[in-house]
Amino acid sequence: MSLDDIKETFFAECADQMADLETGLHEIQSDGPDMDTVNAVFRAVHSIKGGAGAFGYAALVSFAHVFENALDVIRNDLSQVNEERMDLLLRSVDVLSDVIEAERTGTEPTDTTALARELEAAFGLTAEGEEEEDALEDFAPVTIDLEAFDLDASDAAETPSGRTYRISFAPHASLYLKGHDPLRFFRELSEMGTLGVSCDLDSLPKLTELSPDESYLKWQVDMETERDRDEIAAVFDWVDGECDLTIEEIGGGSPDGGGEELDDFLANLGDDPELADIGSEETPSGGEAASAGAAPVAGPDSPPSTAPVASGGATGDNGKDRSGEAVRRPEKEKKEVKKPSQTIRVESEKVDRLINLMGELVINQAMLAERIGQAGFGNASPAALALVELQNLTREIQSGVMAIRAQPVKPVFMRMSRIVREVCSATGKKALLELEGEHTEVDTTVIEGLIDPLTHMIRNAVDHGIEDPETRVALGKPPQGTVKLSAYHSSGRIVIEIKDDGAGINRERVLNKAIEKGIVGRDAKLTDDEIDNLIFAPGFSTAEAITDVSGRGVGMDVVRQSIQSLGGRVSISSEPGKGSLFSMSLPLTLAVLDGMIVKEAGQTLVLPVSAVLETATLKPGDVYTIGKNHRVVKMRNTLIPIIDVGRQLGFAEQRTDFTKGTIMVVEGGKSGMGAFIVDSIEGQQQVVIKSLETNYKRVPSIAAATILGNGQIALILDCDHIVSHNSGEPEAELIQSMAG
Amino acid sequence: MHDENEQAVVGGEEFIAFRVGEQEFCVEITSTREIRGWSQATRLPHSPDYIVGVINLRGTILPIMDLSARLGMGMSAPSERHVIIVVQVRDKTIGLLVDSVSDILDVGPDHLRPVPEVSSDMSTEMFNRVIVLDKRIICEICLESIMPEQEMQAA
Repeated sequence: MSLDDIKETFFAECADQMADLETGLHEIQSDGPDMDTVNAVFRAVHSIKGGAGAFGYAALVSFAHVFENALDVIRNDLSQVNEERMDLLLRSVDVLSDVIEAERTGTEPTDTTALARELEAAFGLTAEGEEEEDALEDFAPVTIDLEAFDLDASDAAETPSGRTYRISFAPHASLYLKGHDPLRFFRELSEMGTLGVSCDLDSLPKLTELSPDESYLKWQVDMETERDRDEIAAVFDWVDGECDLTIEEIGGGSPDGGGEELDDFLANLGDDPELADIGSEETPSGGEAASAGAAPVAGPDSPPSTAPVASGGATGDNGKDRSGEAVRRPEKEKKEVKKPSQTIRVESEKVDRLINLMGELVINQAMLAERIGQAGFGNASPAALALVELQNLTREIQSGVMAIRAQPVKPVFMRMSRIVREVCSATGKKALLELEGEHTEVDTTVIEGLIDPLTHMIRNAVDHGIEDPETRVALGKPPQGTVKLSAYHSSGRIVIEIKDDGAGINRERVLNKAIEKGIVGRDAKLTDDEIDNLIFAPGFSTAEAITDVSGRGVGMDVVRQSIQSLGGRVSISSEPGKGSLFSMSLPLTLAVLDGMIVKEAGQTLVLPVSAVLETATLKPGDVYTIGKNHRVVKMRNTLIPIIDVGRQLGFAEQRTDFTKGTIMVVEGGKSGMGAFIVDSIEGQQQVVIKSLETNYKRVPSIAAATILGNGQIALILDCDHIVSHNSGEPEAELIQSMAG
Repeated sequence: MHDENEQAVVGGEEFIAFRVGEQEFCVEITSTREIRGWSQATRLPHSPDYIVGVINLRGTILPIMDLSARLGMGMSAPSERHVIIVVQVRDKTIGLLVDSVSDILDVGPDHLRPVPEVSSDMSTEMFNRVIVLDKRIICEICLESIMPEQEMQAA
């Protein structure tokens, strides 16, 4: 594992921590603070800080440190949470993610001092924190500071809730291998209380025998703190399994089972002449420390005042009684701390390769089916039955493989809350993002493609949809608007909806704008729905003034295009004064699709089954001609334009007899429907989507390609494009522009 | 990849030479992935005439370019005897449809000439260099400039 790999792992973990952090803060925001969540949030920042320290990301460490201190205030007193502080914390998440990103890409980190000051001011963090930091500069891990234990009891009495822990910490070689530095833990601990650290050099071999790859040093830390055991354990959280760690309470608080172990330990210490020897030589005050530590164990009821205390007392905490809190801390939390991860991290390329191989398997299976069919075995023949078995297995393996890449949409959704905050602060509006169904899973390829269109729509929802707080109040709405982002599965697709309770689409303005821009004719009569969908027209923007937020040169037409390129559809419905609803329907994966295999002009083509509404054959009276070359079919009381697929793609001449083919009514997004006419329908099968862009480029009217059972390539039609570009003529100008 | 090429210059460069119509052309052997027989291609709509279509190369969608048509020498009528040279151009793989492969050449620097400025014909831009061997004149195809993308960006 190279350092770069380790860094990559760190950033991957950062991403996880950030997700936890954001989720946690949102829970606190919506449900109020509870200790579990606050602790989880604290841990997330803490782990990031720890990792960043190991890699020397100074900017990240210093901001995470302030952030952590701010969270600590809440951790010490849940009632410290208020709206202003929450807002500040959420903004800190954004900044923290920026700083992480800057460290990852090696760019200049964003300036965090302003926000850090704000945090310090809002949470009453004084410069004390900095002094503490300064003091740490001189910190040396091997310092034997056990004299401190001789301090008299009166000093200790000032911190009645203080406890003493003995931590033995023996890092494994793997700890160093992963770039951790024990010094960091001691720093961490020293922030929680006062330490006496001794280094156990017992296992250190002679210099000639020393292997630089091995870990020989062990430390014993005696710590005086007000924190409880879990918090100390949390410091070592992310080296779990990479060190031998015991934390015993040896004084203060309520003594636990550790006492006996300690007794044994001390007894052994005494028995072992070598150890004793070292105690006297290497750690002159070791024996004293041991006896000082032993005292409270001997008398469990003795007050904590006998506990050894270092000069200065505990830092950080302001002596709040934490015992009540400790009681409330459920067993579950302890588990969370220690629970080993049940997941594995796999490079996405490995999964991609598996999915490609899966695709090959599907193709091969189709080939086999074709061969068995050709060989003339009956349906009940052993070969055919074995094939059915194989098909079932393949499908199962396929869904299993797909599930590896399936991920909840949550991270993308969480990102949107940041967008809402940003837009709110830029426009002075107030809006809350509500999430629903964020655990719905989709293929990662789809998730990646979702980020841009979602960002844009969320931005629009706040910027154009939600009204100013004053306007809202005047309209009898709560001053804070709501944007609801939800996801759910529906018939093999994922549906994502963005709903706001804003003003809705100003149809008059949209229509005027569209007329002004020449998108529709001056005397056009449009339904409300059609007007709403004008916002998807290319070159359309309703923003009166180019604000900081919108007007970035990207319109809803781009949103629509990017959703279409994912094989999805988007539609809008709006109610004036009540709000708008954007609805997206997307495939669960971009790797396979259920295809309708058709023949046209000697070519085999594939249509996504999801786009096909119905199929029919035409009788002579069904076809009407409009104008010179436009033919429509009347089905279910609607007139649907007939699209001669072969002609449109330039494969064949205009067909004259419409009764000889098969009609497939295809839904082409919001451009409406089209009746595709083809020679015949061959069947339905699952096809593997292969990009044409990998080796060629995007071809209009074609979504992708696939490989059929006979090894031939079939093109998958882009129904939306074909329907919206239907002119009754092949796309002459397109062909020209490409040939020229 | 360029480094490899530059190293090769020291000892001489290797080329695959092939026939298109009456002329001989070549490409650097380092960009050549494989040579295979012609198989029926699936036509692509809305594509220039020199793109014959796409074929299945062990699960990869491989576009096939009719080199004759691309060089403005008329369309080929692909038959069993035609050959597809699979070449790698940057991150893309494309098949060149040619009449036949004629030679593998090991050419020293003194046989490599710049392309003469015969005319303002754009086809000269599609050549890198000319190899002059006895009575043979072999133009080296500039793969980067025959790629369809290049043309799309220019248009």
